Amino acid sequence: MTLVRRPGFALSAGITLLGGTLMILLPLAALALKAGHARAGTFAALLGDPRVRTACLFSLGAALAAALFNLLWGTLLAWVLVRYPFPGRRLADALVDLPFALPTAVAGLTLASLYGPKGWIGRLLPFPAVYNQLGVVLALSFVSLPFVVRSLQPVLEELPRDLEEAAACLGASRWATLRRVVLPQLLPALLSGFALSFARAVGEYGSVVFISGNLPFKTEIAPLLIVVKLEQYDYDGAVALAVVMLAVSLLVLLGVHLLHRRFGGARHV
Amino acid sequence: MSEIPLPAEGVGEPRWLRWTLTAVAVAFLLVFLVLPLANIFHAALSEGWRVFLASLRDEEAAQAIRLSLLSTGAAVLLSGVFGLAAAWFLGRHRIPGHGLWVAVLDLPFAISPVVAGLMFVLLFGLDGWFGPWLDRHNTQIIFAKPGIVLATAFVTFPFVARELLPLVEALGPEAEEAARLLGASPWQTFWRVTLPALKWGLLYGVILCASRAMGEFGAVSVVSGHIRGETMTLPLHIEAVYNEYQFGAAFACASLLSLVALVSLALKSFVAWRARRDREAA
Amino acid sequence: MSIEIRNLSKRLGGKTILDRVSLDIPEGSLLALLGPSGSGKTTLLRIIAGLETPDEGDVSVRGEASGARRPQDRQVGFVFQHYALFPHMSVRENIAFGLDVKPRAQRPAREAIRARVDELLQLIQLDSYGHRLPSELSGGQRQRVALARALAVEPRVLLLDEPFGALDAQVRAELRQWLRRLHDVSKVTTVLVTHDQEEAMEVADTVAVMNRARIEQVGPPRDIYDHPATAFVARFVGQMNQLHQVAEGTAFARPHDMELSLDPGEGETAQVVKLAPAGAFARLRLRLPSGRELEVHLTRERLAHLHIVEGSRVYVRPNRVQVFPEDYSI
Repeated sequence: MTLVRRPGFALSAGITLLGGTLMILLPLAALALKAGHARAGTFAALLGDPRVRTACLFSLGAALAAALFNLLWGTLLAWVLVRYPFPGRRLADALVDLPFALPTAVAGLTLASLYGPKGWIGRLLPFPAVYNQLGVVLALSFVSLPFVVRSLQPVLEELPRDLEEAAACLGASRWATLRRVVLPQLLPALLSGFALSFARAVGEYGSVVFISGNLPFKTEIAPLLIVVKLEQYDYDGAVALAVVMLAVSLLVLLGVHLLHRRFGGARHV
Repeated sequence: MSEIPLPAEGVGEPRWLRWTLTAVAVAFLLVFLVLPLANIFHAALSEGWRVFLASLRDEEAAQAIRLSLLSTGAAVLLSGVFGLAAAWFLGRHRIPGHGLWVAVLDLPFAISPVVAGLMFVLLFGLDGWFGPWLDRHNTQIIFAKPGIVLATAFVTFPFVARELLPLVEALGPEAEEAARLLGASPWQTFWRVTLPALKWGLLYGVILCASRAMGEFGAVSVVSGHIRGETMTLPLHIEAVYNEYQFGAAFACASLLSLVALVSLALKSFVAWRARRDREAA
Repeated sequence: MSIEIRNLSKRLGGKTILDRVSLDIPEGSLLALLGPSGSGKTTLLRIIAGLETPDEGDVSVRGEASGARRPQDRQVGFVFQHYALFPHMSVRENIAFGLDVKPRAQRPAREAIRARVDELLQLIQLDSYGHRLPSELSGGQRQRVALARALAVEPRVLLLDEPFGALDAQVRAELRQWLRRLHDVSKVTTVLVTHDQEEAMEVADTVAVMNRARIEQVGPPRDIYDHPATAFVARFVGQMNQLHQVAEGTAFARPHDMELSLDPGEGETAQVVKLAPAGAFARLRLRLPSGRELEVHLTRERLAHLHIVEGSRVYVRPNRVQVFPEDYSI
């Protein structure tokens, strides 16, 4: 598309560029500049602080666990929803978006109650699932589950059926077909869904606040630590930590963009 | 969804495996998603109807509801207008830096809500860029309603744009060009040709935006200051009463938000169905 | 391996797709299943492959009933209309696939597989394309790879589902010839589904014409053309002029079985509305007073002899008429 200036160019360009700059780039710039002005020692002090290190590692680890959990269950859900027609499939499909629609605070509230000692599920479990790391992973999995399902579904729907039929006629067992023909086609979507789920989980705040107990060195996540620092007026520390989190988010975002560019959706030949 | 071609029956998984996997998937959905939802309503009514209604009529709750609605409305308006403009502009023109701008649209998506809130504190807080200027003019953004509105707007800003951009690109400029050739003015073209083609996508984006805005917690928490009766949105109010062990009240408000969530899910399904139907009829 | 099809029936959603179809395909022959879309030919092919199951009847290969055997166990080669090449694998890997997935006990050594792939690449004349991806190939090349892939496992039977349907006319014609030559060398029993009657007539040893879930005629291409069994076959294969009604039904005549004359006694009056010399013969379109149009093919010699042009008044009668009783429709 060459730059054909259609009527409406000026107005739409104006709104887009102005809106984008004011609402997105300006706040980002504020963060970047404040981080730039921070004393060099702040970052070092930050990384040296064991509480910060623990929180960051825990955030990453819990997000990873949640993303893996979602990879497993999300794949199963997507496969069943696309391939196996069953009564109520449409309802089930709509339900998958529940974690996106439900406020994170509400999610955290109900999960803490449900998996708590007196909850319907909690009382059946031989181990505690709240106020510990397991609870955090539960909450993170809940809020980011739809990413994997929604990433996979369009790819599964577009998968040409004659590929699997061809493999079968060539003598491949169902398992071999799934492993050698179907899975490689799904890989980009799986990675993309995993990455989005991970990114969402790393930055999650609302639901965790209710279920983790916010115990330093045990169940404290990085976003919470930012809030703590803000309350203590340690702006430099908060900004430094925010920049680190932003870097992680942007890296993941970049990775997903590159994936989409290289593989784009399902390839049909 | 029966239009999706599946591999021949001779080729797929054995029937028993299909049913087992389906059962496991449905069981997972029930336990992992439906049970938490049911728990909200169960816990909301566990202390009886009177407590339930009183929690919602409570002055602080009412204020929280009003503020949530205000910031949601503003967020939807901003996201909607920006979304239409940006999707059309980026979808029809290839300026240098096009790819970058599309990536910029994704940024609020990728940023942790707490970090988002922090950015606004850095802009409008007392020590922020505009802090002194605001102080001189006796305006407050942080720890006041405007801050909440802004933070909510930021987090939901690109929702409509992201929803519309692929639609605009798929639509192609032909219909608009035909209208122009027939003598329509740019505004007429927009209202009569472009907008109707995008209406379902727009509606879908608006629902997503509103849904997210109502539930936003992290960003709002940072800029709000938690001033009871002043700067509490409904999710923040839930947290406040929860911390005071008023579980019935907390769940009552949570059930209200859950109803909103369920309605938004139903609306989304409806819109997606209508959009698909229109596409197939075309 | 010969194929025996006995009384195959299949219904889907109230519609009959196959209606007690029986057919014998001799070993080593190339049979074309010819018919319009919806005739059931693709379903028949897929049942032979095991991709679909019939409601009644069965298919036997060399006397062995297939029953409910899965496609994996039938050793059929299948070539799809849209190639179905695995997009993430190279040409070599595609061709070797059937050999790579054999259970360890039956799998040939790596060297043997490599040699076989080389052999096949040579056969399909894509020797240096081994490492390319399917997306880097043209349609005709992809279909050749698909064929090589099907042949790699030495199937008992080769099935092709409108294999050239997605290709340009030129490529289609080339690959048609190429398939025939391949068959002559490999001698694998082959079934080709097509809606293109030219293709069927050119390539096959035997043609089975299908219409509306039934087989209307089976025989060598010559027989199908010269002695169609039904009105449908007459009209579907080659061109046919529909003439007048007679007591036994409707009369038809081929364009090259029509005689033209300038002599009023020699037939019905008609006007030449179009005259197109098409290579070895001329194609004429005549209009009768009733408004009906006829297609006539004349040799150049005859045309020169007659001195007619567009607009001329001529007299036409059929040399050879075939009469069919049934109601027809295409």
